[in-house]
Amino acid sequence: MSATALAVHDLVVQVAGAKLLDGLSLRVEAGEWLAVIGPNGAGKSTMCRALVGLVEPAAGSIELCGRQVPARRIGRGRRVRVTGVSRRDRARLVAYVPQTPVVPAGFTVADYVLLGRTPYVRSLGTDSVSDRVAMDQAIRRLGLERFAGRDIATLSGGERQRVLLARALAQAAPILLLDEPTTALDLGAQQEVLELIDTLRHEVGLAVVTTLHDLTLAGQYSDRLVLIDAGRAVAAGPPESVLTEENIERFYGARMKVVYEHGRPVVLPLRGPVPVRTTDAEAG
Amino acid sequence: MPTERQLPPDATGADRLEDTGRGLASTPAGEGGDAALLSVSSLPDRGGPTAVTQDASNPEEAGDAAAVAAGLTTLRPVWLAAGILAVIAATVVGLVVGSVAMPPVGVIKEVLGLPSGLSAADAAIIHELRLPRVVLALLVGATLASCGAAYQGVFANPLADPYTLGVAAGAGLGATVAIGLAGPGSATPGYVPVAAFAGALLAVTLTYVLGTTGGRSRSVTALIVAGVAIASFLTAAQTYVMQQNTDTIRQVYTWILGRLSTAGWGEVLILLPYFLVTTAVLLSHRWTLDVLGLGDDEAAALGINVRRIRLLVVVAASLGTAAAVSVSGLIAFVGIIVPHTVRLVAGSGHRVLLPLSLLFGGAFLVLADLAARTIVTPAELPIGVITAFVGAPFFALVLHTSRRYLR
Repeated sequence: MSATALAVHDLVVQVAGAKLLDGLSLRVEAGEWLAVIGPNGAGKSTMCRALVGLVEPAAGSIELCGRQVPARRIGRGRRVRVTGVSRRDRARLVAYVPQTPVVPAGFTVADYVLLGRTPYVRSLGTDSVSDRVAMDQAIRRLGLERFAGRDIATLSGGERQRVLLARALAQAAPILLLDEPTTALDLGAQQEVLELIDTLRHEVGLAVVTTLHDLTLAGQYSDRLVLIDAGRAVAAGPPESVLTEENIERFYGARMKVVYEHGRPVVLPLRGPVPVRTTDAEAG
Repeated sequence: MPTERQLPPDATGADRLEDTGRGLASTPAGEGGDAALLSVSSLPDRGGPTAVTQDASNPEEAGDAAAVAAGLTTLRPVWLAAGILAVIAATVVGLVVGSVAMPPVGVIKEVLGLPSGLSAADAAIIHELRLPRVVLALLVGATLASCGAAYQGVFANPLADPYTLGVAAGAGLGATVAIGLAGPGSATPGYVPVAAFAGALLAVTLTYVLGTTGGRSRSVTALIVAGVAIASFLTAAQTYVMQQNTDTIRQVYTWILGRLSTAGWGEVLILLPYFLVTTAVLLSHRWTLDVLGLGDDEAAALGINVRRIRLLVVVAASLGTAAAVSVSGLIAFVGIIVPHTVRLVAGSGHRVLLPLSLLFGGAFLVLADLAARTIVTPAELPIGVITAFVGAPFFALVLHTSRRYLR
């Protein structure tokens, strides 16, 4: 379980002249949970989009399960072209759950989960028996059996997040990439989803990469944290080394108290004058 | 330590399946992959609320083995049979009913090549007038309905159809220019269909280019807005051309309102190859169109080349639409009501939607044509009037009775 699932080196992403990622490097081992944190606009979502090939890196490299994804500019404009690993191959390596997924009208849970099999469906073909088996197993694994025939639009936020996980699981990729999986969920649903993710990564041996706004959740669930700011990693390591009051004050401009619960940091907000962010000070 | 989670007894059979799909076999996680899949009891307990336990106590789980498979939207045999039956029934009625009364059994025998007892004149009416007209209606209806379904799928927009994308307006302009150039009095020139094609492709290209410029801001909405703008522009151009050629206005109007009355085998043969190509392309994208429903980003993250697929499907649907429009004029509403009705009764996936839209679209247009030529006999109503007149209230009724759709 020590194989490197994901290695990002000096990644640069430019959109309309702005450097959204500016030399980002990070590394995730198989079976490991990495939480990516950082203030708004730090580049968390851009990193997710770059990993699944939705934005073209201007420089740097991405390695998925030992397979190089050279970030070379090929073709023109915004067209994403990556040599080495094809779109389909990449989709077999990374399963991506975006922050605000589009839920198509009239799709049942089973229909939706089956779409996770897309990277295995023959060109111009349709699903095979093994795709349906994978769909069936993903649904059972997440305890969604009784929802299988329900229209996804009728599900609650927590149930829907489980359906998204089932689709990602059906994709059978060794890397699970989740952009803010707890957004818009109530507290119970947040914990439910994160526990599920943790269960899945141990069962299946997934490498998990999540961006998370909630620093306490990030500290409680992940093995390692990467704090990014202005498109580059400014701190990385185990939760207790990254979630320090100093780091939070410096990069979030927030007054926080860090306490420890079961050996893991819990971040509590404090009232008082808001400190000045280092980045704001530099920019101003 | 083992978790509280208990697998339902009927789930163990499926969980024992070794093959979790081709993907997991290639998971580099090694023994952490398949082995762990089979041993749920090896889960670590973090002491937090374990979500999976909540469902283990659900009493409904007894029927789950079937429930998962039953949850999948599939083309159920009963719907396929209903579609085929609708086509056959509409065809028979379309052949039997007409200004010349004929015995139904004799008509059916005649079409099947059996000794029918019909007079030579009646047999000629069947073979040269009614049969090609019914076949043309089947093809036009099937094409418009399946192309409407494809547009809606490819743009993930329930309002997308040949009209909102400007395709019909483009075909209209092309035909108007062709008729105008030919001058008054003459029969419909042979190059009208070609001109309609050119206009339709011009329109969809303009819509596509306009709707996809602007970099990151391009969206599904932008495409539809572009389509509406292009349609307005082309309709204005068409009106101008008509004003400049007042002597052919009536001819153009006849065409715009839609008609199958000049049908002979010639029109069927013009349409048939386009129908076959379009249908083949659309049906082969039945899975991909479902994936596009997830939006461009997620579809791309699942390994789909969104731009290429969209272009291919749009071109195929536009060719089919233009071919249908050029032989039958502008027949509104088929591309909207048929796919939406199918979605409501039989499910949303394109594996279901496309085949059933072909069948029910064809049957619907045969019946609409039947109404067009019998309601005010011996005169004929334009078929576009019938489809809109019947289609709009019917569609309103379907929408009203389906809360699921309007959620």
